[in-house]
Amino acid sequence: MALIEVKNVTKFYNSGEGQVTALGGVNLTVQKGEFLALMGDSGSGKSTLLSVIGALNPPTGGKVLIDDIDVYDLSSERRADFRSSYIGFVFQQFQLIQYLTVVENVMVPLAILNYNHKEQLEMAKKVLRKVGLENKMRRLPNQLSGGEQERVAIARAIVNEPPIILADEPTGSLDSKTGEGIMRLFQSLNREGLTIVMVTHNRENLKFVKRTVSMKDGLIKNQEN
Amino acid sequence: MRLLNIAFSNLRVRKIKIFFLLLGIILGVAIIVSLTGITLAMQEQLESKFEDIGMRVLVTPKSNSLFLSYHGISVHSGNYARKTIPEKIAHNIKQFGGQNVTAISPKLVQNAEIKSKKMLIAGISREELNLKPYWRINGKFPNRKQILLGASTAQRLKLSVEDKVPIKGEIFTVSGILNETGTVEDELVFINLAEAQRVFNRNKQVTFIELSVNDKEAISALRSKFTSVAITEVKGENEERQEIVNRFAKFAVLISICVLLIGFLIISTTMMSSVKERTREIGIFRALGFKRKHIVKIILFEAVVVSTVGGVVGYIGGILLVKLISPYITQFEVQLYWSPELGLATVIMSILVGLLASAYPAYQAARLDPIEAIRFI
Repeated sequence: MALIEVKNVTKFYNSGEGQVTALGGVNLTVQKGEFLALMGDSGSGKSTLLSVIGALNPPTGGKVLIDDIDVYDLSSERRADFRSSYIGFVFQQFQLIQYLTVVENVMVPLAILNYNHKEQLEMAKKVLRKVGLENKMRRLPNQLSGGEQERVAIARAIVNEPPIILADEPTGSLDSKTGEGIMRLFQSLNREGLTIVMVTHNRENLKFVKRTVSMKDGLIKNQEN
Repeated sequence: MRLLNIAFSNLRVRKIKIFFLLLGIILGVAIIVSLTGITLAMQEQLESKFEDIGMRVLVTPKSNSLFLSYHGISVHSGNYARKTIPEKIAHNIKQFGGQNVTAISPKLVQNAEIKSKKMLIAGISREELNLKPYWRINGKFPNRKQILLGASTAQRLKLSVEDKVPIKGEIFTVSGILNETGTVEDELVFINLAEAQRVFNRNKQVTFIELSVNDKEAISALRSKFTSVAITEVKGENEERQEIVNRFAKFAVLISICVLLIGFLIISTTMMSSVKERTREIGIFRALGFKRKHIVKIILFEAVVVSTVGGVVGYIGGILLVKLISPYITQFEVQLYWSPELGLATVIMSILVGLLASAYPAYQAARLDPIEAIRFI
């Protein structure tokens, strides 16, 4: 069953040098339970496509259906609700809130949902256990290593149990060994049933994914299983 | 984790910025509170003083000649010593006015030489004490062959209690000295009314009658009833003080409005720069599913926390400031004015200004496009 359907999506930007095509008509289907890597050089449109799939970046044309919901048919506020329940983001450079502790960072997505503090804490602890950071809950992000911060970002993405994880260069700022650990974590989450779409330019990561889609100049070049 | 926790945590890490913002709010609130406190205390003092004294009215002989007036006490020029009215008018006025007349004191004012100095002598009855509850006598009220001296007179004549002094050939003993009143009374010599009438040979006659009434309409009633005498309302010390208080109140309102505006701008600018600094963070919140209203709430929570603390501390500081600065800006002795109503009003005002000043920054934060905010691309 197709969980994500990208139908003829275009995205144009106006820059000083005229119109720039970020996505030139992309069609992509992601099945439930897939682990997909989006590859491509910088400027190929892979991160733009990820943000469009993530209900963050309205396309100029085309449609994005997730779980048969036309994402950009929703109002901006409904889309926020949609993101909260469907999508977990793992951003480039972790993007943790520096003034919140590890456990508080993980609890952020729960702050707008109807859980009491005890429930929130239980949920956060559960995912922190899963990413192996149970013993560093009270630390601040800047007291953690890069790999640990990435794990916190992953814990935050999965804490409210969304069906989809979108990750933008999750190993981009990590050494290869730490990066491999993160990829294994993604792999185990995928095995638990999560659908993952990951942007990467690191070929080493491809051995962990189920399918790779290559992009060039805003178009999908080829797909390999 | 609630939105309020996020707001609190953010305030905790921005200590220095928040400290200066708080300081600004505290100062502003303290200035407004102290100005309001001083105005209220002065008004209260004035009211209690007015209750003590009431409206002052002077009953004098009808005359076309010029008035000599010294600080509210008017006597006719030239012939004031000669022209008099019957003392029984005072009794009639008291009877006619009933409860509206709170005190009535007939006086015979004459001049005489004491220790070769020409002095003004006022014959007064004990009723004078009801009319002037603020009088403090060092000694006793004068009886037969006794005099009471105004503070300056006692100094000028170098007289103290129990001293004896001749007036019009008779020896009088100083029974008491009046504490300084700051009025013309300091310059007078007081003598028992009956004694004055005897010494100056003005049997049952008085120069004027001073009375206080508690109702303005009573004055017109008296005027139409007693047509043989002139009845005038005295613009006394109270009115002058009222004028000062009114002017101060206007000044206080003006300064408060300026302070409120400055406070508004300081909060607004700080919150605006805070939103700008947190663009990326707001983008993350939005990407994680936070709605616009959640972002607005976080910003406004911060404003409420800061302005509540600023309001409470500013109120306490303001009240203390009243005590500190009031001697320099007013002749009134101002008591510490702890009022729960003023405190509550201050905190509410502070919160309202904080909320209003943060409304636009919050709106701007909520409008941030998440994709622009986190520069995903």
